[in-house]
Amino acid sequence: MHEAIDIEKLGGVKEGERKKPRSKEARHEIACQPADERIHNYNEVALGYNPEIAVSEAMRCLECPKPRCVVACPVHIDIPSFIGKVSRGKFEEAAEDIRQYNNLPAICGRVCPQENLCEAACIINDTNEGNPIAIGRLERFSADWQLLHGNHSGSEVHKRPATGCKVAVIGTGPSGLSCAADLAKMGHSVDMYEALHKPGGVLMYGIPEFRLPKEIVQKEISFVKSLGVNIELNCVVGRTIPVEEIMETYDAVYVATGAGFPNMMKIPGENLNGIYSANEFLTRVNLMRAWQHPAAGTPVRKPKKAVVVGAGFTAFDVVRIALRLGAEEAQIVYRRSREEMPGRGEEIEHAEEEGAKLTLLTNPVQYIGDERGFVKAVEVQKMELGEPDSSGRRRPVPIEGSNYIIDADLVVVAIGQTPNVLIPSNLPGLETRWGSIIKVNRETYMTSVPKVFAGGDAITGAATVILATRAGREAARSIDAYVRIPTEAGPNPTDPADRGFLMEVVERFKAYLEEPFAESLMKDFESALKHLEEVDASPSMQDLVTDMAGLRENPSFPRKAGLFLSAYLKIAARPESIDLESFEDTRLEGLGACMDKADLTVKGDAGNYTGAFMLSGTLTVEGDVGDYTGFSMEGGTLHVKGLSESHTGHSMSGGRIVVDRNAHDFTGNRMTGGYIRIRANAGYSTGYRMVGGFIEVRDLAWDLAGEEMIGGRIQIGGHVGHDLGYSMVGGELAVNEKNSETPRVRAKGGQLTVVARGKKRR
Amino acid sequence: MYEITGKKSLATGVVEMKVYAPRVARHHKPGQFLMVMNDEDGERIPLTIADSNAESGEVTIVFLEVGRTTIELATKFNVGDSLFAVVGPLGTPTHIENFGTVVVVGGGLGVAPIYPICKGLKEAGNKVVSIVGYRRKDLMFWEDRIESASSEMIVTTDDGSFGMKGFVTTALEKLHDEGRKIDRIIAIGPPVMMRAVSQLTEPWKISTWVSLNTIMVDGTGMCGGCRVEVGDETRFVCVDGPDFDAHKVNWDEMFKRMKVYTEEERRALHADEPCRLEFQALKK
Repeated sequence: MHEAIDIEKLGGVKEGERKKPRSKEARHEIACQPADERIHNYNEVALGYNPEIAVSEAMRCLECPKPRCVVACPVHIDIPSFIGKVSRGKFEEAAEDIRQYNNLPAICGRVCPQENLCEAACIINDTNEGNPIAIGRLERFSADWQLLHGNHSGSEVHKRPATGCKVAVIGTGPSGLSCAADLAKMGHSVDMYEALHKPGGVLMYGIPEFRLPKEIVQKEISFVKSLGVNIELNCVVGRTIPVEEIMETYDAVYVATGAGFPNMMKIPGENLNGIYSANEFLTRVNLMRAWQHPAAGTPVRKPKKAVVVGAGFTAFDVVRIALRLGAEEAQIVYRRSREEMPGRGEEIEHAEEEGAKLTLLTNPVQYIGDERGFVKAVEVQKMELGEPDSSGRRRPVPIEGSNYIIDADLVVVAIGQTPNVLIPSNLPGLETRWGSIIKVNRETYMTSVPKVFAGGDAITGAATVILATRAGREAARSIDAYVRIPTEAGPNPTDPADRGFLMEVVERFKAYLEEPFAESLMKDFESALKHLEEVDASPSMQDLVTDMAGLRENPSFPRKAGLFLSAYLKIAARPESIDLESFEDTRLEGLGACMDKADLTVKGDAGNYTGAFMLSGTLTVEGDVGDYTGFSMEGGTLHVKGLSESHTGHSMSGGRIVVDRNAHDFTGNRMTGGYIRIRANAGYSTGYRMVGGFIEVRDLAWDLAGEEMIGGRIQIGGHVGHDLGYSMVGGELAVNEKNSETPRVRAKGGQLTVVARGKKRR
Repeated sequence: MYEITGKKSLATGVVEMKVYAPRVARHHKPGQFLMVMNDEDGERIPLTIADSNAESGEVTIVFLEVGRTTIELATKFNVGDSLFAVVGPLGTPTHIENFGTVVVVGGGLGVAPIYPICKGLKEAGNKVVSIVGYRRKDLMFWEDRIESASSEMIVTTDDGSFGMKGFVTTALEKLHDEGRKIDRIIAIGPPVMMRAVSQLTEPWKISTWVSLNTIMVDGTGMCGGCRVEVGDETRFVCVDGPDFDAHKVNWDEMFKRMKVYTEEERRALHADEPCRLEFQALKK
């Protein structure tokens, strides 16, 4: 047992005391192993906070009632709540808080790019620039504290009763683990399949020990296992078990096979000995522990002069390993400039401290080998930056006659990975992009094959751990809705009372799926597409139209309807006020669904589909609401006094939704009319594919606001994240940015106005 | 865990092992391989599946005591012990259809993997002429099995101590010179032998296939350590192969790539004794 936490000694908030935040102080730096020491070992570089510093850092947090950090977090961790607990010395409770939203906190606390996410959105940046709360470090601290001292067992986690549904998760990387853990908590039986001999995927083979200790990874995985998740190792789905067998055995399948296929440059000499793909080099060193060769069985080439091609996360990991393997010289060769480097700030800094060199605006053209077939040098060419390309970064252009030679006895190509084709090639009917990236419905994570879902790098190409975690989590919700309905007691069609309601809802669905909504929407999309063809042919817009047409066949849609319908039947008397204390499940779904000419007040929190299909009247929720609030509503007023999770106002055509606190992702998704007002902040993809209506966000709307927007209007009053108006083709998007920095704009059409500190552009 | 259910020495340095791996046994097709890890600290090495029994759940591997992992496998692992990891069946199965007459060449250790291929080809209605080559008579194994799976079998030994004197290419050339109709040739064995077969048959314009056994780490298409140039294109042996058109393989490159870790391997074998003892001590 650890010593009792003396909060007074640690300088935190005592029981019953009020917190006096010290937001004006600078944030606490993290202790690191000195560079000259750490390049001789594989131990973790960043040492983490001790309780005293953690509490002191937590004391800086304002614990805002309308937190921006939460909407910017891809999994929407209740950050002020957990930091509040740290400042009160309740470290394990803080970790439990995080765990409600993220199943891998000790991992994400280490490898998540917080400086672009929660920490970038922190309100302290407005007054004390460059000193946001060190959210990531506090997350790591809380999770580590729990792993070391806490009651870390999944058997104590609150789980829903067993549903009897069986789900297969293929791949045990961050996305698979996150999905499996959530599904297990939801009461489903989960089997995971892993091709390698250890679970963890990229967390084991990709990220080096000095950045993410493997012991931590295995501890987090044991937690997932303790929830009842079964992991089968050494099992390649599509080989060891045929895909058909999986399809027959399970009610749903989540494909989280990552992006494990290495991209190479296809230049002369690339197959010389001593030239590795980043995947091979990292797998040898991290998973197979080749740095311990010959004690460990797997060898790796020990370099004198190492060249790493690329400048992403992976490239920096590789260059730092090369130094630890004893390289006298290790350099990154990158074709663009420092500004465009996709690697993370802290990692770049650490690599440079350790002696890694950056050779920028330079690209390899061929490799030169010795008589034994080993690489001895790289011929490179200098580059300059031209016009921006489709990623918004300036395209590098070769400078003729600028070639020169760099000596190298180890070259690692780290220019990205694409997904493995094993699953797509073994699953007939599975649609992909470029043959390997699995196509999914971006909101449900459903693939083109019934009951198969996919997420993580398998649907995006190589991205970050946190985005994969998010996909796993969202897919779990979607899979839950998909598998659960048939087994739950829903409305009974043979009961005349239920039958009337059922018929009513069936009629509404018909209206939703056919006339006039879908048709008018299709028209809008078609005209948008026509407009788009004049500007730029984008595959994503083509997909969009196919996607809309596919909505009619989306099997999860009517299933979800059953959910709120059954809740509606429970409260069919339509009382004026519902006291949720009297219901067993306080997050009842579908409250106020199909409401017409009535007023209803919900005292407390409500679940998903609150006010769905509402026609008129006023619905007030005094607490928080779940996903799909005001789904398909046509009229009336819906007032949420707490926060609203994702998909607020999805496909609404009329009426008003007012949310007093934050709304998470996809606010106003596919809406065609009506008005949504968010009195605080909104998460990702506000107004995604909206066609009409008006969304007003008072303060911050995070990344991808106006994504693929077609019509209507969005007004953002405070801040925005990255990729504003990504692929938007129509409508109006107006931003009143309070920062002097103008956001990266990615619109293809429509009207986009950004006023940054009074200066108007575009 | 994957229990060893059978082990015997077939010839000097050649070991046959049966391992309980029911899923691998159930789904194995001719030409596929598996990856083996002796213990948690071990290397992952690819071994071709020489036979499988779906009912008993056993797979048979035949290997040569040549590197650190195989020596350890031969000397320290016995019936009743378990291997840390066995994963498979991997790779694209050998293309099998009724070609007519197929000559299947197995040299040395390559005799083992041609057994399921001969069986498969014969079942598909082919006339299977097998050529199995060994260095000496006392190194012969499985010739009875191959005979049972072939329509006709020729045995060669380098020194003439059994069957035809010479290499497998000697026998193959003789068949061709006799004017025998050959529709396809499959050759598995040491790289030098496969290259010799390839060079011999190229002027004949007879489709010739070889099974490459390159260095691998994961065996599932993730690392690209096994990459080899085939017909001016880089291919991954583990997923695109292991079978390739012999006439398109860049043999020089492949030979060089096979030797990438010779130095490390030598060091590992030397360092082995004290280090192994330390490991054993640690484990106790």
